[in-house]
Amino acid sequence: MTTTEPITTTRRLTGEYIIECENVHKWYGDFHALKGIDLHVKSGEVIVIIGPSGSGKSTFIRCLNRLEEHQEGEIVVDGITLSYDVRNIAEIRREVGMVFQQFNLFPHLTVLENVMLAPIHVRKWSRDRAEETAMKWLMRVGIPEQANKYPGQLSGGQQQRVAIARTLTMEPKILLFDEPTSALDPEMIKEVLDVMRDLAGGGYTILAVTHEMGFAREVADRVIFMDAGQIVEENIPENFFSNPKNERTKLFLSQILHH
Amino acid sequence: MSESSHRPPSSTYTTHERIPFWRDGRVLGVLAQILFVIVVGSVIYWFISNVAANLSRLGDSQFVCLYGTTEQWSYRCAFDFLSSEAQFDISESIIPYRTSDSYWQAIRVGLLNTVKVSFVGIILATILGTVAGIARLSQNWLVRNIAKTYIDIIRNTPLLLQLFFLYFVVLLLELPAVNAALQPFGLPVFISQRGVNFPKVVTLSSFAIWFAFIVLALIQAQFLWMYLGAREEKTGKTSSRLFWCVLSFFIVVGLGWLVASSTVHNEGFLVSRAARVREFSDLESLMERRLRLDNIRLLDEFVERGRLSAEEVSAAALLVCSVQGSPSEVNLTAQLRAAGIPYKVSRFARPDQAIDAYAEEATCDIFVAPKATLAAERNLLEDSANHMIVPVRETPARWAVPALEGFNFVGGSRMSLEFTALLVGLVVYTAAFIAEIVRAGILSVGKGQSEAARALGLSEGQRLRLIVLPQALRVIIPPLTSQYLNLTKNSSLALAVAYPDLWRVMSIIGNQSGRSIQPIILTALTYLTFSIVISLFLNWYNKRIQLVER
Ligand SMILES: Nc1ncnc2c1ncn2[C@@H]1O[C@H](COP(=O)(O)OP(=O)(O)OP(=O)(O)O)[C@@H](O)[C@H]1O
Ligand SMILES: [Mg+2]
Repeated sequence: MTTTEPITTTRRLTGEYIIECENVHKWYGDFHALKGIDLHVKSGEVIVIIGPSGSGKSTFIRCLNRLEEHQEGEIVVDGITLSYDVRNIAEIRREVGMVFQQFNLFPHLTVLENVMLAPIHVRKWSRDRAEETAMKWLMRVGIPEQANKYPGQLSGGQQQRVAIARTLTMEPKILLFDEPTSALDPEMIKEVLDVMRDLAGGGYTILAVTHEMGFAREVADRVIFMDAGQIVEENIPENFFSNPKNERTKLFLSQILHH
Repeated sequence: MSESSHRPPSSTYTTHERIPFWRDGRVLGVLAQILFVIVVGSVIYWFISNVAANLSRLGDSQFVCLYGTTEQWSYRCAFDFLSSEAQFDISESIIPYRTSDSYWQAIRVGLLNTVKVSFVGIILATILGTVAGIARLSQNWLVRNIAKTYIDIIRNTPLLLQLFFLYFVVLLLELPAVNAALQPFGLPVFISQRGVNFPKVVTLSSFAIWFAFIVLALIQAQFLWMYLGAREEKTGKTSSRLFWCVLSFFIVVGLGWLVASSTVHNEGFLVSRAARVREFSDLESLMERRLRLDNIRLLDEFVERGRLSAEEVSAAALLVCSVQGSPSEVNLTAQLRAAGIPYKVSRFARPDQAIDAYAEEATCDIFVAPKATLAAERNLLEDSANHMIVPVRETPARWAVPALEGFNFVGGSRMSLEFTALLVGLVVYTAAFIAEIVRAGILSVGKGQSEAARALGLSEGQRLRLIVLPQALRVIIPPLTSQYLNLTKNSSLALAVAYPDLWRVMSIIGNQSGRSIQPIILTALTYLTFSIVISLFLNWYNKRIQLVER
């Protein structure tokens, strides 16, 4: 099993670990999906996770906001240990936002209602405050004029940007992206990546599963390669792409970079 | 997005290439419609001519009747016979009905009985079906499989069979006699061969005031909710809004109860001056004198120690006269029970009968009614000056709990066995189908929706209420409505358990009058009306909730 020391090479780290995972195991029935994940993430760090399909990338980041329950090891997010305590879970989910591959917008609500829903019902904000913040974020992701449309009326790229605005309006500290551009046509990928690039400089701690290598090179503090439920290799992007050490990493990179 | 000048071609434009008409989609479309109209037209023609032929064969005896004074046979009076006397009894009715009433009145009774069982059935089936549907999706193995077994068994046996089983085997054979009525979970609900007796709420005249307070409490809570919301926004601190609003609601409602009870004094009882009763508490001393006790509250102890026999107590009990079903009686007897005073009630249909009985001293010690009634009735007495009206405390509302007196339950409400059997049968049957609809509705909302809701921090309750249910309802409501319609139509199986619904009344009318076509027409029209109303609602609803798509 590879144990990895966190690498401390980045520009805007505060020195505090905001996510600490130690020896995290997860089984689906008999299937061992995560085999001892160790990862420490500092506040403000941007981490890109790559790896072949089925390697457990989604499973891992879904454990961080407890959409999946890990069965062994310890996960501490923002000082709170993830356990079956529902109050802890509720608290963590307020601080951890997640953007999905399939957007998962609520089709029965307008764009604005989608974005305002959680702040009103979870953060207990007034409608006015929620609307103000929602519009601010819709503006930031570049689609304020779509506020009163329904998700079904938007393009994929626009929907994903709404999903990002919806997550950000909750003012989370940590953002999880699970292949946010994989369901998009090439011309829409750019508009979503632009938004994510914009966020990466904004003090958020970001864990993104993505195969957009340009994005990883540009904004990641660390790139992590997962295979078969383990972290196989991690490094700063320059070294990771130019000088991969592990055979599996090399193979994977050669497949996605030259095809 | 907009190429403003380029408009779609109108239908009159001509293609450059000529298409033979048998391949031209536009021509084929029109042809298909013409063909369809011809087919439908001929089916309808066949149907009508068939009915007309049959009617003319039956017609002389059944459908046509004597019209006017001169001998003239006509269809115009076909329904006139329904104005004549029904002459048959109907076992239960919401509205007054006697055998001397017309067939029309009988039909109205049947219709209301159908509406009653359908209405209550729809509400209960929805509740049971929703619970079973959610249970079917439960993580818990036992819960899930109980729900599954129930749904599978019920859906795969005919309703008529279930009704027969329920009525004849379970209810008629197994239920105890009235004096050994079943009392499930110790609740004041009594199930016996006489039906199901259960408590009801009776309201007294001060209820209006209390009701006003309830409305006030609601408005007040609403304002408090908004005020606290605004304050939360200002200070940025969350307060337990819900707690304070609920608390203040109940405080105002409780206050209203006190105000209403202390300001309205409409209740009283009539008692002879000789009894030396000036106020309610004097009743206690009256009974103490009669039973030769120091303190009426020690009565139970005396009986236990054998110093007083049950017969003696019964002989000395306070005799109360009242008008059948009057809230005044419920109000008084509740206080008599609280004071430990043994009493017996005689009930009369009208106040004047009660005052007559009161006049014969042996029948009643007191006559309980609203003060105004008492004052009016007292004037009927020869020695009216010898009787006084004693005020009784009243509360806005009281529970009337059924109690066995002789071989009947008095107080509370009663459901007949026939109604119960039909209701339970319809509810259990329809709920199994509704459960499947609810399950399908919930499953139709993708897993991603729940994950997004959870990831945003919504609680499980909020996730269900704000995300899953609104979307599931779009899928659930249309088939649900047709289950409601099914339940209403299935209620005509009432025939099997002798519940007098519309169809049973109509069958009796058909048999008795020898005219079978008119009842069938009326019944068909009624059920058709139900169907049309429900489908109109459905169309309106579907239009309203359609998801907006690109
Ligand atoms: N709910 C589940 N039940 C059983 N097995 C599961 C479940 N979810 C995931 N798995 C399995 O766990 C493994 C890891 O899945 P995961 O979705 O994390 O992979 P991934 O790295 O995100 O892949 P992809 O790039 O295709 O999204 C896969 O082999 C998958 O089949
Ligand atoms: Mg994945």
